[in-house]
Parts: sequence; structure tokens; C-alpha cells
Amino acid sequence: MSDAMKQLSRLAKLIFEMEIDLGLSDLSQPEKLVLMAAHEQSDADGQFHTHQLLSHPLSAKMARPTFFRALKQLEQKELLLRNPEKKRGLYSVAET
Amino acid sequence: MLRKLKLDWLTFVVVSVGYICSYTITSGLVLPLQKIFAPHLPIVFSVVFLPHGIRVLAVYFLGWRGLIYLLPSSYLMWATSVYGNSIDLTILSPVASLSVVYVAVRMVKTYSGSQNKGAFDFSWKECLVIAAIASVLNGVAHSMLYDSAFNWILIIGYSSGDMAGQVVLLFLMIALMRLNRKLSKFI
Repeated sequence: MSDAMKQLSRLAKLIFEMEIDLGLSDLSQPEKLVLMAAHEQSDADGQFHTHQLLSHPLSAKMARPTFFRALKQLEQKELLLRNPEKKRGLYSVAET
Repeated sequence: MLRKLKLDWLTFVVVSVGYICSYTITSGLVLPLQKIFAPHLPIVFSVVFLPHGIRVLAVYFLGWRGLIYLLPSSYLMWATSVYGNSIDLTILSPVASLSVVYVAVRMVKTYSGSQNKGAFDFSWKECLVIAAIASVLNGVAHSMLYDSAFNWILIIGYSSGDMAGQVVLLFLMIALMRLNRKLSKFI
């Protein structure tokens, strides 16, 4: 990824965090927390493992069923993408 | 030379286009409205100065390189204001505005780095704090440039205009991203 694209994706992340944090998005509270944790835990390619989110302060205190429901809903809203190779627990953050 | 400084053309184009667009909206829409609704305010500052937001974001993400990327478009817009719109801006105005943003970024990043877990939970909050500090410093710097003393009208005018510009720019970006997400579903 070129430097310009890297910086633009950081900018998009900043704007998206602001949108979620100010409650301007149409996401439920657990979805917001899981998404923000996903953005924080994702690596340079936007990938993360679910176990990273389960230990993240934003989503650690959430009940497991709530967490996985939020994860599924974010996947349905195409904000999180499951790894195409179906590697268990591996997701990536969609480009916003 | 460009490689040595790790500068690249695409970043330069993105930053310049962002700055020129935001300046054009400010001088083409905000300033005329300001002249109609607040004719008593000095024309050297705008009540919503969007380019301040571009400056803060560029220096926040690109560091000192952001200053180099911004310098040509800043002077281009300075020239259009001075020679095209007959606004009496001092030649040091772009340099002062850019320098204060760099100082504010360094201040906040140094403070944030000294904290255990960082001072801010989200980068947009850090950006707003930088914008607030930079806008006050910009107000003071311009007051000194014009009056060689503290001119409170200029300080308050520049500070509030810059801060409002940063906030409005971020909300405009949110709106653009939402629009982009909605449109991409139809394409």
C-alpha cells in the first residue's frame, strides 16, 4: 500500500470512529463496542482474530452471546468481513 | 531530493486538492455569507475556516512533511486572496498558520506519549485538542503580525473561525463517507 493510501485509510478510520463515538451511526451499543474494538485490534491489513476482541477492554465485559450476535450483525451489515478461506475466528475490517 | 525527504506526489496532490477545495468553499461561500450577515467583522478572518482542518489533519498524519505538502497550496490561496479578492493578508500568514499547527501537534503528541495509555481514547478527540491549541496560537500569531500586540478581536476571530472550521470539516467528512457507503450499495 502506498504511503498516501495508508494515510487515507487512517483518516477514514478517524472519521469512522468519530461517527460511531458520537452515536451518528445506526448501530446498537454492542455493535459499536465490537466495531471499535475491531478497529483498534486490526493489523495493517485490517485483519484481527475474535479472541483479540474478547480480551479487549471495550468488549471483554460483554456476554458471549451478545458479543457473537453483534459480530454476526456487523458481518451482515458488511462492516466486518469473515476471512474468505473460512479460517476460524479470522475477520477483517471493511474499508469505510 | 524528494526521495531523500520521503515525499511522494500522490500525497502532495491529495493534500493540495483538499486544501484548495476547502479554501474555495470558505472564500466562495462562507465569506460572502459573513459579509451579508456580519458585515462589521474584519474580512481577514472567516467565521468557519475549513482549511484549518486540512492543515491539522495533514500535519497530524504526516508530521513535518505535512508542512512541506501544504506550503505551495497555502501560498497559492494566499495569492488569490491578496491579489484576487484584495484581502490584506501578510506574506507571513501561511507560514505562521502552518508553524502553529506543527507546534500544537508536537505539544499534544508529547503530552499524550508521556501518559501510560495515551491521553486520548480516540484519535479524533486528539485532533480536536490539537485544532483548539493551534487555533488559539494562530490567533495570537496573526494578532502579532497585524498589530505587533494582542488584538483580542483578531485572536478571538481567528481562534473561533479555525476551531469551527475543524469541527465542520470533520462533520462534512462524516457526511461524505455516509453518502459514499450508501451509494456504493447501489453500484
